[in-house]
Amino acid sequence: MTIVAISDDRTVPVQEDLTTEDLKLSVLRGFENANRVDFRYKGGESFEKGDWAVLNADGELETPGASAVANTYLVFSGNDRFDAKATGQCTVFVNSALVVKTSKFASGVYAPGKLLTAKGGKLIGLASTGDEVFGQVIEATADYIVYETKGGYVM
Amino acid sequence: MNYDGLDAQTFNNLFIERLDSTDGMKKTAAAGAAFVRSKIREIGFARRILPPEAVTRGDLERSTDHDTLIKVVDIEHDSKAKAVNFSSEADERYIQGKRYALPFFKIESEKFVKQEGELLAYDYPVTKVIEENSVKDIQRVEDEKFIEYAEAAVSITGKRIASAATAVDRKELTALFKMIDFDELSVGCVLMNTVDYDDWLIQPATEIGSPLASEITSDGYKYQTILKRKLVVTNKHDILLPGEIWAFTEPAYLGNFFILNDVKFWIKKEADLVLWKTWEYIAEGFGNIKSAAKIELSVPNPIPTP
Repeated sequence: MTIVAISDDRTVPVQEDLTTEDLKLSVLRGFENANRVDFRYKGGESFEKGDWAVLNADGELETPGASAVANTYLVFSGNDRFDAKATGQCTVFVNSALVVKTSKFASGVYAPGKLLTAKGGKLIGLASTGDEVFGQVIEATADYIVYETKGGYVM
Repeated sequence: MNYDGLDAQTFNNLFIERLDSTDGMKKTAAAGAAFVRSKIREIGFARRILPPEAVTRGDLERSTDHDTLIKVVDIEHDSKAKAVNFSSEADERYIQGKRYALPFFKIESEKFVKQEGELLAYDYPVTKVIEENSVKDIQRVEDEKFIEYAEAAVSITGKRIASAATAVDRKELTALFKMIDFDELSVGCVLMNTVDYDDWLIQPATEIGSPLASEITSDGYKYQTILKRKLVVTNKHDILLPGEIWAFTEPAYLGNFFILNDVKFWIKKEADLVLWKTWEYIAEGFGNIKSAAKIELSVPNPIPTP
């Protein structure tokens, strides 16, 4: 469900440690020259920053399917915000060389050098042979991974 | 308010006479409000730990779904630095702030009703009734909610120690402080009830030194601080159980306490009945849940079982 409201967890009595770093998506390198583009999101879809979304034939963002496809993009601002509610759009990075830190990754064993893809859901995950590669791990911890984006080639 | 030269019965009589005119009712209500504001600030322990800030409607946010109000407050954003080579650069940070919302609610006294003739039978001024029945009720609820939110905070952070100690001493307090200090915060205030404070008074000279022990024995503990932290003592044992001692950071790291407009006092005379009540709209809470810690001592029941 898309949340475009006052969060219950952040309303007194607060249920969340608000002093901790938000790990959903931090761009560590490349933001200044990044290409941020808005696309409409498909009805019923919900995205948060750090998710990956496929731009479908209708020009709308939707959840990646079972197979990784080249037209898949990192979401910078999802539709969990007031502005997305007004525009009907999410903001994604297009053709941008970034280093990002995120807690939004699929389960798996990550290590520097591992190639990443986005398929079967909105989270980045480990790539298999034949998958489109969208990133490569630089750092891996239990809470987050750091990866460089790599668009446009097949593993 | 100065009642010099008037005994209680005369004052009560004048109080009733003033209620018979519109102008008098306005003056009486205003005088009551002034009196209430002053006493609440003095009494509530929540206000001593987290001083209230007055806000107006313009400072608050509405909801699209209902007719209540909130105030949204920012949480300070984190920042870091790192050592890098001359030829390198530090990470970028796209600022994404966090906030929390404080919902406003009303605290209201009972609506007191008294027949004017019976009011004259009292040997103490009506303002005393207002003080005892309205002011204390309101400040008590503020304190209850404050402790409720503090309990919610420590239940998430785990900053709650159960100790086998039967009385408070410096060792127990420092164990309490460490839970705050560990998060790069500092304890600004210690809250305990009078039962635990009594235990603090009987520490032996071998623990606190002969001069202080002698001083306490003759004059009590005269200081407003304890281990350099502000000391707040309450006698509300139903809100703060004996053995429960809290540590809180300075208000800037703790949370917020807002009062919308001011305390309201309403009074009315209907035929021979006098009615009055007091209420306020407040919001209080912890934005930084790491700023509270609690220790629970195994203090025996202070009153022996009959």
